[in-house]
Amino acid sequence: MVKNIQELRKLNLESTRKAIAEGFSRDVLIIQTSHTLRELDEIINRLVANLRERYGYYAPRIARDGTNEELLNSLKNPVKDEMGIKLSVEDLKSINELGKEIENITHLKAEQEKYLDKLMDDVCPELKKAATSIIGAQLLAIAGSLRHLAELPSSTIQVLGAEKALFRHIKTGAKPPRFGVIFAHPSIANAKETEKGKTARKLASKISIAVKMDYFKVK
Amino acid sequence: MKVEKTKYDGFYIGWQGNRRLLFTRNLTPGKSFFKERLIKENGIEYREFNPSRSKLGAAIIKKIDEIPIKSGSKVLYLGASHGYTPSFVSDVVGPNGFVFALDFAPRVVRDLYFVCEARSNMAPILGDAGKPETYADKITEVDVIYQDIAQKMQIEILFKNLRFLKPKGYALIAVKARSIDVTRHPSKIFAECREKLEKQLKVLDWKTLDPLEKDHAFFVCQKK
Repeated sequence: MVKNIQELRKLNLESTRKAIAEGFSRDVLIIQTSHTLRELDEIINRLVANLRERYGYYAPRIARDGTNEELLNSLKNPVKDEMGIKLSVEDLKSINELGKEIENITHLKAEQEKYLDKLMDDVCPELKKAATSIIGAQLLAIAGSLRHLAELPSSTIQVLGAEKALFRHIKTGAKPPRFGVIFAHPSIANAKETEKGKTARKLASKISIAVKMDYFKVK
Repeated sequence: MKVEKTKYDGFYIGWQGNRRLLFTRNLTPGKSFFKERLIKENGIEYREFNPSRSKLGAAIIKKIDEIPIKSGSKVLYLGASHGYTPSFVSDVVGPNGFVFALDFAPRVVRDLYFVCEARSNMAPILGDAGKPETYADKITEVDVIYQDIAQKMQIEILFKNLRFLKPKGYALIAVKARSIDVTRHPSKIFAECREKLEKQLKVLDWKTLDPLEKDHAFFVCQKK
């Protein structure tokens, strides 16, 4: 049977379109949102640093010692320090606009975190319980997919995020890392220094089981 | 820039000062897909083909004996990725040839789709090269199989796909030593690959691709 190649091409284009649209799993959304949160975090930090520098010429005390919230609030009623330079209404307006946008972005980040939380509830509730939303999402991002994370041994999950230290240990025999991104988990953050390693190992074990429950949909 | 033919069908060389650049004739003039440079010479448009981005290009720079992809060839490309090298193969085979471009990862085939959509001699396939029965009804018999898949069983995958290769057809395979075994020395791995390939194919030539690609080799074979 002679196959008409142009017809085959059309069939392939169509079946590829379909396959890509249908072969989608929601864990991708979690990973992408996790990336967004990381970007927003860095952007906010950089803009705040810039704001502090810029505003610091006018109100050095708040720019230097104030929290982000205090800083942004003071922009609404700016008061010049004794040491501060004179700024025109227009100068202050420009700085104020920067502050407003930082607040907007901070609000965006909060909304994205809420959305991530809901996603985790929907797709992998056990992982959320075991590891917290943010850390769970980071683990998914590093593993690449829920399936891959479910296939990993708990010892790997324990050090996901500490690849530099891990391979350094493998190549040079340096001390191995005790934890990767799970470091931020409250149970490890609050543990005694001498207990952190043990806690990390146990936590990774729990996470490993939780992910398998989510992937294989065990309730 | 003066563009000259090379001994490889469809591939051209241009000189920019001391630098030697590779080109193919653009099947879709005016269109560039990967921000590659387009140049016009004597009314013909060429696309620049970067050997650092393509194992096929690297093999040419390393002076492989021949590249049996010609105008009119039908090619099964396993491991097409975003479509960089396949787009240049498409240039070479021209409007009378065809490239079936297959890859396993949906995110990557999505990009490949747009390249194929713009070119009448390319078709995208989302599939597993290790399971040829899943796409056998989507392709024809081909003159050449080109494979660039970084997997441990890459040679076995090539053998599974030989059923689509016409008698005396050619198989080009880029082998990544680290995918086969990350601990052993590449030269030993390449020697074993050659032995394995010789079981079903005749190895015409092979070259390591250093320094353009670390621990990679390119084999040109023919069906016995």
